[in-house]
Amino acid sequence: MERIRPAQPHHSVRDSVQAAIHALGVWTPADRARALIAFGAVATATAAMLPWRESLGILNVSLIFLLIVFVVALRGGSRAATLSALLSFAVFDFFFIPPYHTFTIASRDHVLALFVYVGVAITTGRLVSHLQGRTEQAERAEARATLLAELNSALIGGVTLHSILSAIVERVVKLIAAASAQILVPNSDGSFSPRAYFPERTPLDRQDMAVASWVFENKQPSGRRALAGTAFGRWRRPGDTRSRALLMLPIATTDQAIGVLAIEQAEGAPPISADAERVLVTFAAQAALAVDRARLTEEAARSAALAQSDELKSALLAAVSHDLRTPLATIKASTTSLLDTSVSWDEATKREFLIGIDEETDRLSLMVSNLLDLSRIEGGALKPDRDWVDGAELLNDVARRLRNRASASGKTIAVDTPDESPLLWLDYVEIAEVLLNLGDNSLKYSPEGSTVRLTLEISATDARFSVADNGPGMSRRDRNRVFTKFVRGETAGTSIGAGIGLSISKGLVEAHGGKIWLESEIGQGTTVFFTIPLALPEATDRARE
Amino acid sequence: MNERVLVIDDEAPIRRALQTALTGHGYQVEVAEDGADGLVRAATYSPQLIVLDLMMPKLDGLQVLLDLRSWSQVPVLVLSARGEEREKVRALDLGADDYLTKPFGIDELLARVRALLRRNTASASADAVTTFGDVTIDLGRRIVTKSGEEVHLTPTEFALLATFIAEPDRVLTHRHLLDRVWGGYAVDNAQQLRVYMGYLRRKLEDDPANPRWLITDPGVGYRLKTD
Repeated sequence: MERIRPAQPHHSVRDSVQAAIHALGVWTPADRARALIAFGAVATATAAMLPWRESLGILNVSLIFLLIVFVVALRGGSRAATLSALLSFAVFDFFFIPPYHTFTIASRDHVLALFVYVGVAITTGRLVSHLQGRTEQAERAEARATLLAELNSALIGGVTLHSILSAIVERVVKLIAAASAQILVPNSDGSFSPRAYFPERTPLDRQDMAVASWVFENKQPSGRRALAGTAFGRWRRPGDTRSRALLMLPIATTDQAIGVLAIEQAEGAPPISADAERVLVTFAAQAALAVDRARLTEEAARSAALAQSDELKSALLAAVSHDLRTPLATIKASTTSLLDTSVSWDEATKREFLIGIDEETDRLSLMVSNLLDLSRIEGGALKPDRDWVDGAELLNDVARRLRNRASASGKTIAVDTPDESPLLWLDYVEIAEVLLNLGDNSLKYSPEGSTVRLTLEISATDARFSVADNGPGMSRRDRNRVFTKFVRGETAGTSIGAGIGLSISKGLVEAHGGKIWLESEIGQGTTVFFTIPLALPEATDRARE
Repeated sequence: MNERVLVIDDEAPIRRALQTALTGHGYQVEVAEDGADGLVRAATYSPQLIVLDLMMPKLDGLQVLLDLRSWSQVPVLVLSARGEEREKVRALDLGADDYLTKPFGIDELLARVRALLRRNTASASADAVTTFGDVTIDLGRRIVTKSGEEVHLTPTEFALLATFIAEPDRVLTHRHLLDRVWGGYAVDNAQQLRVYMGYLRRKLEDDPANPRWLITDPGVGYRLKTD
């Protein structure tokens, strides 16, 4: 990799003189052009004034030459101005001061006039060109400031890290007409990968990456300026047919380096000017702050989300421990009674205890399943594992499981299924869980001897399941709240368990694209309905792939 | 009775409960608390049935099964938990004979243990006649009757039923059934299996929507219950 190196530092007077002569001798085409302008201007003025030299008078001639020097200074810079001043001095003396066509001066007044003239000319020339230089500088500074402001506008409004990085690369490319720009960010293993790029991802080879690494560690831009002009780090490997100019800037704050901005110059385009480079370096530093800010915003959002989920988890834990306590209490009471040697229970009573333990265990098992699903729903990780299921078979299976619980308390389960039901595209375990939850609830609130009815109806678009009981029913207010998660501070009779079970059911049904609702009146029992859309064969084939 | 059962489970309470229940029903029980120990005991104790927990730390159930199947065809009943559906099916495809999902009732465990041991000792001859409910199947003469009346089955239906008869009272995975009856596992064939199960149920069950013999194990396969 070749890099243009700056000149070595000077060490001796002889070196300085040599350098000065070298500088004088190095006339760029622009300098030559300006010299020509100086010559031309003076020559033209001379030619114009020559015929009238008698009538014009020394004063007017000197004023006109002064004007020429002024104009040359404006356009040509101080060197050309000085040159034209000296030239016009010579020409003035030769052509316009008697005796004509000689360098000698007859009158003493004329000597004074001439030397005053040259003094004023040189001074004016330098002053004007200096002023002009200042004006140009001011204009360039303004251009720089404008460029910086426009680059910085990329940083405003970007809230996410990604949007800021994308805005940066896009702006840079558009504002300085680069071929491409990308932002490299370090990976954990020390290599760099592009996190944002515009317009396309330009591959960087190992050497480029090595430079990026250097830039990142040293927080210095790479590429040096050549002595004369503003070419940038032009890296060309031996044999590399395409020559690419890459400018790498560190995106870093004083304590932390964040990444590297790699700008590729357009092929054949003029090199990035010194002004633009300065602006970019400033911009990179500001970008670092903006990027840092975006990162902090993202972290803040994450911790806020975490805090909220923690809150939810504590509420859940509270609700769950409450729910679990009831079946556990029953089990504990039953087992300790049976273990109690001071009483001898008759066989029927023993059997009752044992049945109670068995039932409550089933209830606990359902709760555990509910919790598993609740955590998956909360985490957004719930994806039903669908398969073709016979709806009637599902309903009968659930009914069988509920019947054990029901018969112990003298209640019955009835099942109503259509004669011909199509296969349903759903997750068997999840929908069974929904039906078990609903059935369990219904059983809890059904009076002894009543029937809980499970029904399946098929319409043109969905399968509609319903679980109906003859319990006390619900008020309108409870009806609306019942599906919201663990409704707190319940009125007596509605335990929080109902809340979790129903909100799980809602989550599972909705994950299937269905709807769940209930109809109930005080004193007239409750029916919970839910639908599962009938799947189109194409949709399911696609889903299976 | 007196058959030897090996229980491999890392949880002591489960080992205790199973050992007590099985011993109570006349079986001889040996226990192992991890996969490695289980494999050693399987070789030295020579059980006639192994009850294997799928989720164990260190050497997990599937690895034990793989190792075991490389040198033994002893029937294996795997225990799985809710949420381990995939592992359960994998275990069955890798050679386990049946499964139970925790928490399970002991009655169900005993029924499956009995069924797996029966298979070992029974001789599956082509002359055997199988009965469940009011259905009788004579494999040799290819005659099926229900309530005394002959039932006509298509060749595919018969092949399917015969596959169940060959291995009664244990789960047969979709893949197993498709392999035996349709000669290969292909996506469209899974649908066929379902359809043909429907046909069989309609012909042989009293209430096809509420089957008593040809049971669905959701997500896994089907089983034929003969008792």
